[in-house]
Amino acid sequence: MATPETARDPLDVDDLPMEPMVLKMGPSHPTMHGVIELTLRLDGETVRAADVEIGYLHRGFEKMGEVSTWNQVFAYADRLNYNSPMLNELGYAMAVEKLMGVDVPERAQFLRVIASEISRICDHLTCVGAGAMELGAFTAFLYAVKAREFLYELLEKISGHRLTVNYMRVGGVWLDMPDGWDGAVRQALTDAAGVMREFHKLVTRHRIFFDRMEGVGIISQEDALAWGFTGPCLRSTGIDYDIRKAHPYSCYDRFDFDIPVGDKGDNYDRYLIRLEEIEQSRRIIEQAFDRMPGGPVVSSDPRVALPEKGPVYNTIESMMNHFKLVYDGIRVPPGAVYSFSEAANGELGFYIVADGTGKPYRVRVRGPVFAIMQALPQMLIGGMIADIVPTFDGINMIAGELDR
Amino acid sequence: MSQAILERLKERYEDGVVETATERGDDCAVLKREILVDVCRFLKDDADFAMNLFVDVTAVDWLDRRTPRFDVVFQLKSITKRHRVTLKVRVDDGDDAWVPSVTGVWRGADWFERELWDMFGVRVDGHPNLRRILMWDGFEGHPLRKDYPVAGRQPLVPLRKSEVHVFENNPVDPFVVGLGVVREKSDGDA
Amino acid sequence: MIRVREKYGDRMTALESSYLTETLKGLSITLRHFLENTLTRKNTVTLNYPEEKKPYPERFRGLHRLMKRDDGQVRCVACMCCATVCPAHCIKIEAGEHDDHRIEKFPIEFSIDWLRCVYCGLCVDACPCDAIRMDTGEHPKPQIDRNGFLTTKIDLMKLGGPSVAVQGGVRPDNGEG
Ligand code: SF4
Ligand code: SF4
Repeated sequence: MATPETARDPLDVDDLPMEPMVLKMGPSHPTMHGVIELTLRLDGETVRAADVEIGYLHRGFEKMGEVSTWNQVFAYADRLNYNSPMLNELGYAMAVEKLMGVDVPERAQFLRVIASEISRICDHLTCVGAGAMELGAFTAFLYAVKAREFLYELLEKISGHRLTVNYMRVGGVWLDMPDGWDGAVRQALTDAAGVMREFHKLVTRHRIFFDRMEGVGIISQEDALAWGFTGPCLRSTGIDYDIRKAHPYSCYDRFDFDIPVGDKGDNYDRYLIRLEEIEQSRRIIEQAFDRMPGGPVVSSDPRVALPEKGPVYNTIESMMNHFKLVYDGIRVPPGAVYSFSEAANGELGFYIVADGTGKPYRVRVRGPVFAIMQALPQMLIGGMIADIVPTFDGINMIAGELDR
Repeated sequence: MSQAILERLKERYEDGVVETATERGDDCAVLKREILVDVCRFLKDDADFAMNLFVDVTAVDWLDRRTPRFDVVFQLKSITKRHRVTLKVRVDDGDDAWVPSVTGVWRGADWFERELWDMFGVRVDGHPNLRRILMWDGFEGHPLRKDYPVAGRQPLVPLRKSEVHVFENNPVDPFVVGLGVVREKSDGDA
Repeated sequence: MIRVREKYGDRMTALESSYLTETLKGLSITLRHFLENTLTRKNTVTLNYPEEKKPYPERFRGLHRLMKRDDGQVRCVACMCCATVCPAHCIKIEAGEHDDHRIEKFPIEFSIDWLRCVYCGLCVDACPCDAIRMDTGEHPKPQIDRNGFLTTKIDLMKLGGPSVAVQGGVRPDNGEG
């Protein structure tokens, strides 16, 4: 239970009194959130050197994007960070809209924000819940999953699926929210908050949990910046950088919310930040419902939106437009943009290049976890083997967006 | 603000900056490869620009459409100043496909540059550890190049033999030897 | 900006670090849930699947079905929109010529590989005549081999009913010659 010292001096592995032990963790290991292989050099139980091997979940997202139409990429984007599919879709949709100059109607913006924030809560719940479980608090994990379940049901109601939502479209969203959804959201958020209060009571101030999180996996502000950290991991070091505030996109500038920041940059900070972000997301959702405007939910721009079904069945013009959009896909004018948004783990960037046809010339994803994972060895070295688990969880590695 | 970056770069590096463009709010400077690291260091250290966050590096393969063949695209950002800029370097195929490493400026470029090499075969000069990252060792070609077939298949890595022989060569520890025997049996069954 | 350590507490208080109070607090929560769930089943969130089932919401995208015309024929006109838009390339259509000149084309075979399908619903959006829908509210059932997931037109039509969407019906003389 001892808190390990986390001296970060460059360790020379060769001066050890005996031969260091090499331990492989992963690629499939109960404490690993995803498939990733850690090769550790140990002196007793202390980690002296670590190497990270990734790529086990590489699905070729970027290559697939080049042979799909712009709308088909949504189906793949869902699976980037599979805990928060809405956030990925929002990021991708914004990139295409930026390149095309499509305006998204107000109501669609609000629905997007609500759906994204629900996703963000789900993501954080998974992270803190799994983190507690890996430290032995299985009950707490089940509570977090229970709270998440309430939210998944909301996503299922609005989009038809829990994880593979495919809800957003270029220029808006698939459908307006179903009747009574706002009431259901408020109810579910209250229920989830109740469950989270119990979760909080169970683990946050519990000695075992605290001792294993506090002071473990420390990263300094300078290092975090140098490694390209974003999201909760960067905020845990005390930098209040959140893209929703710094470069407001969609309609985030209309909502009032706070950015939680930590002090030490350790796992406990990251854990608390996620707890607090759940609260803040709840605030955003409530404000969004209070101010929800009416109107259409998908842009009327004929370049992107499939025409209404009624006219398609009955008029030749709509029918032709429909066929054009289905067969050629959305035609995006040539150009390249980089668009970024705050996903659950940090900056999710899309660099897209169009050549004027119905398919992307290049879709590049900058997954937030990719930058953070490269600092994992630094965060582990000097600590104990047992500290790998909470640190790894604090990063909240999602193999889907790490390997793409 | 980011316009000012482009102006300043043009002023400071004159010929080094091949062209600058602003497209849909993204400011982009196309640089000569020789000054890339210098520009990066300048952008990071200059108090006005303070590009302290390395966001991304990737490439776009133009195959037969343009020469030089690759655009290597860097995204940089300042967290304190809240602005960002895109840098591009054009490199050609073959021996010319290399860019200098910026890991000396931002450590975080490490994996991104490895990915650049892995996916596009653009070598990164001066990178401390240029290995493949998403693909396995022994993978041939670079999958995101446009001439790599979408449905391209490569032989899988052959399954490793069971590690029994390792134990046999090291018959010191009876526990380990015992393990080896057990494994041998179960392997035979399968 | 919220400093989380100020809000949630930084160090352990003496009482907290005694380990005992927090543990008892936690135990009281779990005990309450235990009693609640064994004595009454009011607040339990789990279901005795498969005896109890939760209905899927209305928008749930489940198995596809092919809609029928009033006379029971397949409504699909084999326009290939769905097969084109499908990101998983799992729809195979073999088109044939229909005797009725007003219908022109119909699918001789229409098969969907439910194992490859990602249930994205793009095919439903793409269909210009409301011939394919995903509102059966059923998920694919397990099968003993892969071929079991390869559905045929007959299976898909069994799931479908007559479509009520008005089509080509605004003018009374529509389609006559
Ligand atoms: S739901 Fe999606 S993947 Fe499945 S058949 Fe329709 S378009 Fe294809
Ligand atoms: S889009 Fe509709 S009409 Fe066209 S082939 Fe598919 S199911 Fe048939």
